[in-house]
Amino acid sequence: MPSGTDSTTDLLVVRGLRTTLRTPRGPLAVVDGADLRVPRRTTVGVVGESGSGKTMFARSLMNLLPAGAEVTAEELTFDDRELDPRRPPHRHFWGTEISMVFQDPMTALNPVRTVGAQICDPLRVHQGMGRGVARRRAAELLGHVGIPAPWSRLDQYPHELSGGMRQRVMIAVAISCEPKLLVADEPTTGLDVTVQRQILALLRRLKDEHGMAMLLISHDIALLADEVDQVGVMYAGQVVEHTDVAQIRGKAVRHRYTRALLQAHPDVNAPARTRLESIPGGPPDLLAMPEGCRFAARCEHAREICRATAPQPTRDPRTGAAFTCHFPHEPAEELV
Amino acid sequence: MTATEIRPAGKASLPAGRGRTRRGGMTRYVLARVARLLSIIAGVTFISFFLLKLTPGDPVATALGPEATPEQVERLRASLGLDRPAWEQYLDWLGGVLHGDFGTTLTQPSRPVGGELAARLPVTLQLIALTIVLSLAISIPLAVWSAHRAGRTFDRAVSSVLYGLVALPGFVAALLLVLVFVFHADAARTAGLAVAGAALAMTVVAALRSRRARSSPLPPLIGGGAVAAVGLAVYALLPDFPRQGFVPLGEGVGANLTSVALPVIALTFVDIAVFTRLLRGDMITELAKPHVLASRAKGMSTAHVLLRESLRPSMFSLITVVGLTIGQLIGGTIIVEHIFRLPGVGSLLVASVRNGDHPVVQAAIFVIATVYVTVNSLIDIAYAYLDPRVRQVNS
Repeated sequence: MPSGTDSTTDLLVVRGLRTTLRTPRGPLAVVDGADLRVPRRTTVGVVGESGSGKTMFARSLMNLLPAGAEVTAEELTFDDRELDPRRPPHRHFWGTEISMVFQDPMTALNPVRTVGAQICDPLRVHQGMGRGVARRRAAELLGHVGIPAPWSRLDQYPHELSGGMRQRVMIAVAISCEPKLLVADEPTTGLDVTVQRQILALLRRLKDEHGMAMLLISHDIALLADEVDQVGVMYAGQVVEHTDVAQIRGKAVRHRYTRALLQAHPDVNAPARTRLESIPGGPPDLLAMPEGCRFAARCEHAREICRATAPQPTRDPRTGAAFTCHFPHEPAEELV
Repeated sequence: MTATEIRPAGKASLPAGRGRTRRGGMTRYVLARVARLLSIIAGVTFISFFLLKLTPGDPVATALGPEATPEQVERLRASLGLDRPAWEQYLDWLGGVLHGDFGTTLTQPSRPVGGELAARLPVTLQLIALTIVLSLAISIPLAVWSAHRAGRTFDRAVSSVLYGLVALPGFVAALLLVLVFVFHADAARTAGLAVAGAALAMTVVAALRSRRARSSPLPPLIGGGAVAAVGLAVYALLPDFPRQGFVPLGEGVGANLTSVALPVIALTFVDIAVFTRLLRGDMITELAKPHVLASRAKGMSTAHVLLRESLRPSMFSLITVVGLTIGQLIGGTIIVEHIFRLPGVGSLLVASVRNGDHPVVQAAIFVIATVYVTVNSLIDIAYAYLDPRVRQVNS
């Protein structure tokens, strides 16, 4: 774990989070013992392949899950208060303490209600604003997220806005009640690259201005490396490494999976015709989880112990990074 | 051509003043609809007029009876203008309709067709309106809550009852209702009291049990309370329903409503089942969409999520079917009209076809077509109201 880990500086502490969904094949542990800390005013990225449980991890924090899902945790503390992971928080918690920006701005706004009405909802419900006041505040918020001519946008419907605009509207909704933590789940999916950068820059600016912490979920480790302060790497429902972004940028990561992820990313500065590494195989079946390390089957450094015993969380004394790996990557190897 | 097609389409032409343009788009949409509606009605009258001409038998001879002399028949035929070419007769008829004149009945003594219809139409329209309103009033709440609790006790209970209702044709329901509420009204009252008592007892047991199980006692309390309330209402408030006949609204609202209550209830059974199943299904689909999740993440209440976010986009199939049902009921109330001896349009139409009374048939078809087309145009306009995206496609 990076420096400064005493509990009061952490806005969110998650330990041993476990989320099971009810499926026809039996209970499915989509998150299985995940640990993560989010310090105040910090952006923590969560990266992982599809199916690694990153979205379910984020939704479990708010207990915003499909019917029949069960969440347990050894510890779930938010803003120095214990939360009960098993049941949804009071609904005034949603939007005011933690709020969320969703993956697909095309579908996350209600198509038959005006943009203004959808921004006014939380203002009226959580802050008790009247119709007129909420509308004025909604226009302010739209201006704040960089939408030109905000007053005329209030009466428009989502289909009249571009994808980037819609995501800005989603962000305006999410920050409307000044949450302490903003969870952004792949906020740039389906947007073109220029707009992606604009949306990420907007999130960064809002985070600084409002003193929020942010949990940024993505499958793109290179994108996270530019945007966040710390990175949590998820694999098969667990956070296998949590490290400062400096280690990611310097490729000085410890877990073999993180290392493989970084190598699987094309490097513009690499010599021409460099072969792009890939990680062989696919993530394990969540219903038939291996005994030992969950990455062992795909890891070229795996030995007997990896397949037999699950590694315990370890802390790098030098960087404070936490990781679960029997034979961690030694960054020094690179330097030799 | 309508104004719609002359104006450039698409949002590129929309200036900054959003409110006005949106309403303008809506007006154009409605006008285009009305134009289409009028042409359809004209077409229906045209086709039905000439189809009637092709039917076998001489309506004039039928009207005058077997004793009439050929001279009398000729005289009546001439006075009705039936000796002129068919297209001239049609234009005559159409001209009359535009002035509100539907001609006179062939059946003697001859009366104005308009008056005949005007006497019958309110009965049918009241039946239809009450049937639709009552069906929707029952099925929308049932469907919304069933969708919210999909797969759980409430949903399953409602589904089983509805499958029973949908299998019960209107005329069987009508006869059963007459049997129970007209011929055994006292037994029905007693049964109401018994049901209320049993429901209250079961509610108390269920509430105590759920308290011991540390779950909320509210669901059994609400469910049992509702059943008990219905039972008590049947016991205390059940009026004496007339076996048959219709009391006009002018002779007292209470008497009017009791005279149409049983026919309306008989007609609602199938509609409630169909409407509820339809809306429940669409609503379940809607509730699974990301914007509903986003709304929950904003901290919106269940009521808000169900009613403000999900109900409106789920209503498309429902209102389509409501429109078709209304059209079907205009002629389809005939069996129920017959059982309860209600003087509606359906029975008039059947009698007139039998008597070969062409002016009445023609006028009735005109009225039915008008109602049908108007209702379905209103439904199309309702689409645009429900979904702003439809407005853009159509303008």
